[in-house]
Formats: sequence, structure tokens, C-alpha cells
Amino acid sequence: MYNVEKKVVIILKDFHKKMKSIMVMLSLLMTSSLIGMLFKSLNWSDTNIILIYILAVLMTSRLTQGYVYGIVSSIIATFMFNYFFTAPIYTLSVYDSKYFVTFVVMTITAIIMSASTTRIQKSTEIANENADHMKTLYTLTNRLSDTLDDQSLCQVVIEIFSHVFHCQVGCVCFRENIEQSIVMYGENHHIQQLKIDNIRAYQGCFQNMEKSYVSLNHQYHYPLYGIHKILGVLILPQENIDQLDENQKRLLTSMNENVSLALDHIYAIKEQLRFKEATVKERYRSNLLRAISHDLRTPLSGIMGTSEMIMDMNKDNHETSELAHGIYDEANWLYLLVENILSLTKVQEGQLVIHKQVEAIEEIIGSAIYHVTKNKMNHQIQVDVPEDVLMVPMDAQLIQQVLINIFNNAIKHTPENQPICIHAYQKQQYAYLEIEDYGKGFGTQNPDQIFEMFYTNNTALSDGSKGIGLGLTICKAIIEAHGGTITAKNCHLHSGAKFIIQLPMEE
Amino acid sequence: MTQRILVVEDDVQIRKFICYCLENNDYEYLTAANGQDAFRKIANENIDLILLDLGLPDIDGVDIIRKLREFSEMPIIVVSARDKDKEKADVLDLGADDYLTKPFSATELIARIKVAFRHYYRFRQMQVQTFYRVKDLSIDLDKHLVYLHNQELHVTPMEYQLLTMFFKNIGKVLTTHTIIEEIYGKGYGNDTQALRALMAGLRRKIEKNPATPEYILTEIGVGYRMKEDTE
Repeated sequence: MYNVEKKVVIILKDFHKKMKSIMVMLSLLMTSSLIGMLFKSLNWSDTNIILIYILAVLMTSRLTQGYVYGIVSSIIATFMFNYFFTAPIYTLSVYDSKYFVTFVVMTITAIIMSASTTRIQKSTEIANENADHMKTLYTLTNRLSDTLDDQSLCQVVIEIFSHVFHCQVGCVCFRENIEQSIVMYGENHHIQQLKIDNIRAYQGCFQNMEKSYVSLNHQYHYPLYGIHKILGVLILPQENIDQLDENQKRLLTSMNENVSLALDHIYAIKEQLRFKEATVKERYRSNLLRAISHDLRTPLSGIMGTSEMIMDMNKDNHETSELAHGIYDEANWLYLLVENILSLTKVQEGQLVIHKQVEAIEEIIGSAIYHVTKNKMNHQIQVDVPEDVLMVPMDAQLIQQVLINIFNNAIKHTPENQPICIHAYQKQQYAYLEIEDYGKGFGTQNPDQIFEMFYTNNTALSDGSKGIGLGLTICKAIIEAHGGTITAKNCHLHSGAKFIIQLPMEE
Repeated sequence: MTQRILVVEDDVQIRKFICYCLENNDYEYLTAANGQDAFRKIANENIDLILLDLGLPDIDGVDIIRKLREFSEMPIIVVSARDKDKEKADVLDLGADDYLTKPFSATELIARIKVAFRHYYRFRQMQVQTFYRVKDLSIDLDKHLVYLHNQELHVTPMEYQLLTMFFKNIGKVLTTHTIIEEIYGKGYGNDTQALRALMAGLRRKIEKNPATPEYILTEIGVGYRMKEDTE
């Protein structure tokens, strides 16, 4: 209903305009005829009358729109001149054949004059329109640059678009959490927030589009693209857009571009802020962890040293010595945990960037073994390294940490007097480290689980000693930061666990 | 004459532990809880060796070493909770004699002190020693010969140079920087890869298993140290 009414109104408006133009044309011609008759009665020459008619044609072109009225009025003017002023008067016939030349020249002159007038008028119109568009764009950019978030951007967009296109406008801004996206609809200052039921599916509409818009429910939905992805949608009623001429459509496109840019800018700033916050938070976190670790190390050294002293002093008193030994072991376990936490912050802090240097793998293995066997133990670690020294790019400190963790894990699970083996070799572009123990292995459970944070297989430990759950997680983080892999599985030939570390040979 | 050691450490418990170890091994000791105090005692007392904690409340331990080295050659052993290898190497290159990372054991501490003193006195007396032995490995600097299990061992000139360096500094950590400068000369930069290869070759000659060395230990990120007989 609404549509039909509107169309009728438009047609009526158009009709009205045409009638007005015709009236203007006819009245001007009539007036000039009357003036011509006055001249004739004064016995002035025909030339004046012709000039009066040409003036009428010019005025018609000036006061009406389009070429039609000017041309028609030129022809009518010629006929009128013929009818009223050339003998025989009040007929369209002519006695003097010279008048034909007059008619032709008069018509042509009138047409050319009217045409150029109309053209000038048109260019003025276009210039005005362009100026208007520029002004609109300027206002839009100006207002948009003042907006700080997507919500105020939506309001500004709706205000300006509805003002320019005289219709209801919708604006959608997709957010990171898509459920929280902003949807607004309205006209000028009457804006309301809406909700789109299935916004994910709605966003999906804009993939693989053929045109620059999607047509839904008699509305055109123009997607607003950022550099990487779709940021929002602009919704305009179909009928208003269909009426726009080329120039206005171009304006619409530029406005869309502007809104996209502004929205992209807002999101970029937001992203930057979030990133900054995250970095600061992360730095605080690792600083805190490092401070804690450092402060833990000093008292732990005190505890370990003192308990060692007590063990030393009470070699004859077995009971006290045992107790001191217990303190020492617990403190040592805590110390290992602190080391692991420190390594974890190191790996996380640099966004997993590792300072690699080419190292001889045997040195790292040797150093790791020296560390774990320092405190007398009942396990033998068998090492097999290739005759040609194996040089691998790595962060030596971190890889040593990995090996210490794996050795400690193996020692914990291997019965006394059973060996632990480590075998290093190169195959194609990778260096491999295989560590085998003679413990129970993983049984039927999934070996990959052990790399998960805080996973410890407590059921397998009868002595109730603590696991180093964090240790293997850190191993995985470190190895992956090196671009390598670490896997765990059961040994083939004997019961026990086998860890395989693969490190790339290229830097 | 008993040697006097200055213990510069701000943590009470560790200071007590260190002092106890020193007392048990018949060393005299003085203590300082901060850098200011340490400098006062260095100026006024007769001190033979300094055990220095790097993380002092007032002055950075690194600055203390730098200042101390301006007027004194006395042995400095650094005790540190810092885990950065770069710092360890820097401290050694600055002139510290050795370092200990917390936590350390009493035996470790005493061993390092003994090594430091031995080097210091040898340095002071300009004593010329031409024959060194560690376990089954020995070197005769006069004859330019290396023996393993009392049998002559063929080594390249560079390996010989390397071994000489280690034997002259038994028990002491030598930074890769120091070794490279000594063997390849100054201006060679810090090409550790060549040194690693050289070391791997030498180890294959003297060690049973190059990955579990008996003679030359690797200090990851810092350098190498020749193990003492008693260790």
C-alpha cells in the first residue's frame, strides 16, 4: 500500500512540474506575441518581433528544465510569428518566400540559444550537486573522526545517511565477540538498538558476494570491509536506493568507503590498546614469577646447604641424618620446580623466540648428566653419541633443562641399579635424542597426556614422592619453540618409557 | 698462616652456612651484608679472598668486582642466584676467579676456594711448573708431550695449546671468550663453533665417552673447566 501511494505521489509531482513548465512556456510565448502586436501597431520592423520571440525562448529555457521545452518553444515561436505577423495574417501560409529563410534562421537560432542556456543551467546544477556531495562527505568524515567507539560511530552514520538519503538507515558493527555486535536502526535522532537473532549466519551472508551488496527484506545490505575482514554492514531501504541517480550512487559508495575506514581505524586502535595491555600484563606476570623464583632460590640454597651441613655433622646419628636428608630432598625438589618456572617464563616471554647458537650436542648431554648425578645416585646413565660431533643450533640452557627434566623423570620411574640410556644421532635434516628408561612405561594410557600441564601419574608411585608435572610441559614448550617435536611412547624390547626429541639441523 | 676470607652476602641463612663451612675447614672469616660494608672491610682489614654475592641491596656485585680489580689481584669467587649465563661469563671476563650458582654444596664451595688460593699463590710466586697430572692424563711442557695412561698421546698443536691452558688452570672455569682469545688470537670474534669442534676432537682422544667427560667439563653458556683429581 505504502509503496503504491508513494509512487502516485511521485507521478503526480512529476506531472505537476511538467504542467508548470508548459504553462510558463505558453504564457511567455503569448506575452511576446502581444508585445509583437504592439510593435506591429507602432509599425516597428519585424526584426524586433523576432528578437522578442527569441527572448521568450531563452526565458523558457531558463525557467524550465531539460532541452524539450526550449526546442518546442523555438518551433512554436516560429509558427506564431508566421501566424500572427506574416502576410497573410492569421494563417500559416506565406506569400513572400523570403520569409522561409527568416523562419529557418529564427528556429535554428532559437534552438541553439535555448540549448546552450539549458546546458549552462545543467552544469550549474551539477556543480551545485557536487558541492553538496563534497560537503556531505566532509561532514561525514569530520564527524566520524571524532567518534571513539563503534556505538557512537553507528549513531553518526545513521544520522548523516538518513539526512542525506531521506530514509530509515540501519548500521551493524561486528565485534570480536560476535554476540556483542552493535545493531542500530532509525532516522535522524530517533535511533533504537536492535538484535539480530542469528548474527553469525547474517555475517556469513557476506561471503562470496557477487555484487557490492546483499538484498534482504527489501533492503540493501552494504558490507563495510576493513583490511582483513568484514567489520560492519550498512542497511538502506531498496526503493530509496533504486531512485538514486548515478551521481548519488557514487556518493553512497564514497560514504560507505569512509565509514569502513573510520570503523577500521576504531578497531585498529582498540586492538592496539588491547595488545599493549596484554603485553604489560604479561610483563608483570613474568616479572612477578621471576622475582618469586629468585627470592625462592636464596632461602632454598640456605635450606639445602644447612641440611647438608646437618647430614655431615650427624654421620653417626643415623636418625638425624635421615631427617636432614629428607629436608634436603624436599628442598631440592622445590628448587627444580623453581628452575622450571623460570624456564617457562623465559620461553613465554620472548613470544617463543629463542636465541639459537650452534652447540655440540654431547656437551649439553654431558652437562645435564653432571647436573643430575651430582647428588649421588644409584642409576647409571649410558650415553651413545656419534663419532662425528653432532652440532645442532639451540639455546643450550633450555635444552639442558629439557634433558635434566627427562632424566629426573626417568630416574624417578626406574628401579635402582637399572640403566637409563640416551642415544643421539642425525637423520636427514634432523638431530634426534632418544632417552629410554627401564621403568613401568605408560602401560595402556595415552603417552601424549604426560605433556599436559600439571599431569602426574601419581598412581604409579608407591613412595608418594612428588611428580614434576610441570617439567614435561616445559620440555614440550621448549622443544616446540626450537621448531622440533617431542614424543613419548613405550619401549619395544623392555618395559619402560622412551622419549624422542627431534630438533631441526638448520637455523 | 690461616687465610682470611671476606663473605659478602645479604642473606643471613646462607651467610651462616658459608661461615660454618669456612670454620670447619680452618679458614678465618669476616662478614659484610652490603657493598659499603664490604669496601670498608677491604680497606681496613687484611683479606685474602672474597666470596661475593652479586645481588646485594646497595651496590651491584659487578661494580664491586670492577672497582676491586683496579687496585687488587685478590681472588674473587662470585656467589649468585642469577641464572643468566651471559652474566656469569661477563663476571669471569671482568676478573672474577670463579663462580658458584645457588644452591651449592659445602664440598663445592671449599673445593672452589682451594683452587682459587692455589692459583693465586702460584701467580704470586711466579712458580714455574712444567709437569701437570690429572688422573691418568698428564702433560710435560718441557718436552711438549701429552700422556694418557702413561702412554704418549698424539695431539695437534692447537689441542696441545688447549690442554696447556686447562692444566695451568685446573679446577678453574675458563670462559669461551678467554679460550678463543688465547688460542685463535684477539680479534677472532666469538666464533664458538670452531672451539666446540676442537673440543669435540680433543675429547674423543682423552675421554672414554665424550658425552660424560672425566677431564674437561662443559659449563653451559660459560666455558669449560678441567676437573680436579679430588672431585
